[in-house]
Amino acid sequence: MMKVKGLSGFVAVLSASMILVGCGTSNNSAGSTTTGGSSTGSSTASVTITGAGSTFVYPVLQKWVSNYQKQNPNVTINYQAKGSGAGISQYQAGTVDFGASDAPLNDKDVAGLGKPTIQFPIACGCVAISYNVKGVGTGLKISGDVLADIYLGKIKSWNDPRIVAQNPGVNLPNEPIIVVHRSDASGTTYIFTSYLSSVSPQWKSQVGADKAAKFPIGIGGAQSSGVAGQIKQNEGSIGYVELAYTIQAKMPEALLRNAAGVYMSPTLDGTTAAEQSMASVLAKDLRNPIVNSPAKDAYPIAGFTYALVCTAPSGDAAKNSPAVVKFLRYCIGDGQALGASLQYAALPKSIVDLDNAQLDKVKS
Amino acid sequence: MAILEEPPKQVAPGANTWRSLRPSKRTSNWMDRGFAGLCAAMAFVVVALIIWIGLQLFVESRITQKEFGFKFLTGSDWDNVHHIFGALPFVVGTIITSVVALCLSVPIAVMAAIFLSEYAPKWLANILSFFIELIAAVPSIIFGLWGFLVLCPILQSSLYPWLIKTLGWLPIFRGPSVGTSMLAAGIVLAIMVMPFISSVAYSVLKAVPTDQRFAAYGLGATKWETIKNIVLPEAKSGIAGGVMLGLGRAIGETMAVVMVIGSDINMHLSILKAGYTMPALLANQFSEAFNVPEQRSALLEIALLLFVITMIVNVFARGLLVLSQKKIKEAQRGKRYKDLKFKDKKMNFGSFIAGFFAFIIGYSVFQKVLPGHSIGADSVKVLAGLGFIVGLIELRKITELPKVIEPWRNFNSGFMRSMLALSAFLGVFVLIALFIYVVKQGLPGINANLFTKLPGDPTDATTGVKNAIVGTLVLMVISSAIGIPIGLLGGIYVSEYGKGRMRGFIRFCSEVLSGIPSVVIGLFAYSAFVLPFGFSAWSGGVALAVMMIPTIIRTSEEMMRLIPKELREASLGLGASRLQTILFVVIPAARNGIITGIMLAIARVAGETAPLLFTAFGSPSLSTSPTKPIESLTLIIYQYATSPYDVWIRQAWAGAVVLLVLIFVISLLSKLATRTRYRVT
Repeated sequence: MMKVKGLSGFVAVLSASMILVGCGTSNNSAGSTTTGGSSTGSSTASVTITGAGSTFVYPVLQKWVSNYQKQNPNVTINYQAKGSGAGISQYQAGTVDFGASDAPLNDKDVAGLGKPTIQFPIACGCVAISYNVKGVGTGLKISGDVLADIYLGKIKSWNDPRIVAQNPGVNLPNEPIIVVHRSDASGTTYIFTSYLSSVSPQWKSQVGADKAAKFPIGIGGAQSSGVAGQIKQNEGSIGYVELAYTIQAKMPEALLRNAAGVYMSPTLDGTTAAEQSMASVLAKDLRNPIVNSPAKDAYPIAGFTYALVCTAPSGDAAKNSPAVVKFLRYCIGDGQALGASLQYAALPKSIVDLDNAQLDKVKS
Repeated sequence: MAILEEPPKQVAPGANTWRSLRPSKRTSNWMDRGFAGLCAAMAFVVVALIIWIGLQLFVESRITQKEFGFKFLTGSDWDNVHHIFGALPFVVGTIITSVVALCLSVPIAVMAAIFLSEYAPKWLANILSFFIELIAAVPSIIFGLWGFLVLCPILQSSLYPWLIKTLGWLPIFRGPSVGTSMLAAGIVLAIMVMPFISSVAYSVLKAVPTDQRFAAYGLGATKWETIKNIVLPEAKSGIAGGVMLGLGRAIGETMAVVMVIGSDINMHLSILKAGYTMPALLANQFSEAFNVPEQRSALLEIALLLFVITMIVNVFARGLLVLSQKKIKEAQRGKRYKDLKFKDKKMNFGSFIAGFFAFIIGYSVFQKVLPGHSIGADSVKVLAGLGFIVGLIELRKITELPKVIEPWRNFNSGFMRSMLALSAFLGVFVLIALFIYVVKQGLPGINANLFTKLPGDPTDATTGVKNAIVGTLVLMVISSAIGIPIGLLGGIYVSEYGKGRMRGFIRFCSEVLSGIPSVVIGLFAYSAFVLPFGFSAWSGGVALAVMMIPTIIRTSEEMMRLIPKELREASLGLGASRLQTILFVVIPAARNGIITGIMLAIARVAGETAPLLFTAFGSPSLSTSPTKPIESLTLIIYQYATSPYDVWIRQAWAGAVVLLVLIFVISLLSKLATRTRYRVT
């Protein structure tokens, strides 16, 4: 008797689960924006803006949010920093008002979003090259092609003639180079690999630029702190991290030779110079990378975080749209000055103008 | 019969205290059947879940299945840019790290279990096994951070150079080494799986009939000889089952491994070099693969692979355990004698000291091998020094069985006792070292703001992680609301209704379900709930509930089966229906045990990170809504601990302390609850 009952229960549950599996495979994007109330631009109604995406921009965005909310107490901004990919899919599903991605979307991907979308830089940062070589302090000089060949595994030892030639007087040991890279998919890796792609044709064809590029050699660190830790732990290592990490952990920074032949240390000024020099390129398409800038005073590995915003929002999203635009204008305007303490380079006026032109496209 | 608190004076049917609750016979019959059906349905949820998880992953990974077919398993390239996906490096890395973990863990875990079951007095065994079980409750994210920040640098600066110098001619120890390596992952995994192996081995050893030991002593064997030649062979298949369970754990571990493995896709023979495991790949890449269908499908296929491998390992493990239980049951048919430790009185203090002594040796060896690395607080060293002296004096007094003539046999027996004690204390030592480290890092960050303020500006020290603390509690509530009813009713089915094979089958499936890696459950929840409905607290809660159900089923079943049959018969004889008997006699009697099981299940899921990464997702604002993304302590620890900002790093460690304390308190409470549980005499 029991067995029969048990079996019928089993069948019932199983069929129920089958139905659910059926639901699971069909992709109905549910949910819309989370509005805490309606906003008609008036200052009394409370608004909740949601965003999702890049972890790179998260610290400065948090700072913008807390400052902006102090000035506009009726606005709540909720940003989920769980990766650019997640941000894009959340944006596509319409569950957030804006997305943030470290890598811009190409035309095909934009078309795939299924809604008119603008993307523009909101924050800029640079990627520092750090290392741990016995007897060598900060300021090791490296050119882009040497860096690419180190990451391709073609330069294997620290006393390789090509490194020695750039560092006269530095006593480089005959030690193997341990290459460190990010193991998780990240915008930092995207910026770094787009730089290597721009300086090394072999890198471009063999590896390419991607958030989770397949590094031919080397060990991976989970998150930037993982990479920083790997560099500290392993003598003979070299790796790339966001500027904030080398400054916080007082790690050695390499001087990188830029396209004009000047060795530059990673600084906010050098990064802003890179942005400035690329303004004309960016005027054609804001998605163009700003790595390997031709300017004399530019640091060559720099990149943006892009905001994704729908230009023709409907329904609840339309109600939020003016508040979103206002907040983003604050980010690219007054907000930029707040980034320096967190090692973000301010966007120069030329790029802010381009951004504002994009934001003007949003219908309200 | 003291269990019925107020024995009715009148024995006439219906005259007892349940009168008002008593429905007419007809309704009662109907309710009885309904309840039985409900319990059966809940029990079969376990079976359905296993099938659903497998199916879901299979269906969602069809893109790469079609494109690569069998080559997916043999390919050694994983290139997201060019869409080439081969799982071989990850499979190989998973196998190597798991094997290393077992090689390190099995001897220690089994020896610890032998010490606990054969030597340690009951109170000491209780304390030690509680500590060892606590290791299992430490969130894997904390193991990961500790492994990366403490263990890896020690290994790289001290152990590895020595290994390369002395054993470097072996290909597996060939240099140059890196700190984050397959060996480092193996060591962390060894610590993490030790509690699983030793608790299974402990219960199997306990079950070996005492008459067999008596017989061996009677023939003049020393205690160690008895253990080696009589007890261990008898418990062999059960211990093997425990080892396989540990293997299943090691294969599926995610957050701890991802931080110490080094994530190198190139395969190396040397375990001193970095590698990659399947769960590490999932944690690293899945969050950026949401909108790249090929990559997502490839990663889900990895999850499917992981699911299949752990299923096979777990089915095998459970098979071995069932076998050993059968064997032991047969052996137990004869008379049972009371406990056998006839030298217990003298050993009580002595064995403790012996253990401490062994622990001190281990500690000094550690300090000798790794100079300059303080792994605990100074107070531990002082304690250790005191214990060393007392231990030396006390060790001489210990006697066990009458001495045999050959002195080396006596020595052997005594030596092994110390080694066994050392192993048991090692677990405690690891836990204390870990705890001290976390508290040291986290204490400066603990203040009122942590609990009352929301996250914000990373340069502002007055922010907090209130949302994560609330979020963790919300997730606990959601997972409990789903997991407890299913688990409890399933447990009732197995204990009260299930018969013969069906009961065995459900029990077996629930054990298998508990062996499925948490990251696989996370990915399942992602593809089943997040894909159609978006990130939400309840999708995370469901993932956690799936992990709770097996624990609750098992413990509640065990506790209810402890209730003597006579009690049920008495209740039924008084005219109660089966439903009433279960609700008003069996469950109240087993209450404490059931609560323990539930609390253990909650403690287990409270520290989970991997299943939440792709489901609950995290949210910087305070949210209690089940339909929105929600933060959890584990998620925020992972995010903050890896950030470059002091304030966030401090908050991450403070959060880790809060989480550890939360889990330890739950575990301790549940331990105390079992002490007063109903016992069969």
